[in-house]
Amino acid sequence: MRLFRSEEHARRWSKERGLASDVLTLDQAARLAHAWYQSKLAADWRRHTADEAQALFASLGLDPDFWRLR
Amino acid sequence: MSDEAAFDQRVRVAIATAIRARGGVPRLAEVAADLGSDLSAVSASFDRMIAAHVFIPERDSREIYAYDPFCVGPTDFRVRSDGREWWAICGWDALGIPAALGAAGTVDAACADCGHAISIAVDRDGSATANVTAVLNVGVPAAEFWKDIYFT
Repeated sequence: MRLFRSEEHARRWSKERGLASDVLTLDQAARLAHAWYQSKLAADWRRHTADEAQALFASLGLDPDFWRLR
Repeated sequence: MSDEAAFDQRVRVAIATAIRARGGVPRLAEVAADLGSDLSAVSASFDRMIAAHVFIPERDSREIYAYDPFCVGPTDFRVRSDGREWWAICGWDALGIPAALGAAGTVDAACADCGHAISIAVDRDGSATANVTAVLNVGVPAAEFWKDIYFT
């Protein structure tokens, strides 16, 4: 999961390598990271359930096919 | 909660405490020493956590490579937050380090395509601004993240 200076650079890099690609805006990526990790060091941390993760991805407007967990 | 689950929680808290206190991902022996537990018990706990995808081990080892978002470093993703320098395995994790610490931070990386420096300021609330129109490229569909986590 790499950072690029623009979507154009990300698409080109992925195409050259034949990789699947979903490009998140910085706002989407930052909100995803914050929600995903904000409790990681807490004593009561637990992994997100698949339903919780799916709901988070949907709330961020991520591509439902690319971000489907099962 | 089972005895194993309770012990695993103690181990997780010890890892988290070590990260906060020492600014890096601890080795198994350090966790055992911090807990006053024997290595075999902590090793077994590490094995359970690896199986549950709580952390990513070093290849062919049970030592922690990434207690996501924190990684043993250095890597291509440097984060400065809470008065320390940290390392992440990817852009997602780099953006998550300030969140895990409950602090603001700065992510320094480079465009994987052209090498242009990317610097991202992350606030405590998770909002971010960058010196360029930075984006995060996810190259593996979510259902396949753990098929080869080192590639993901």
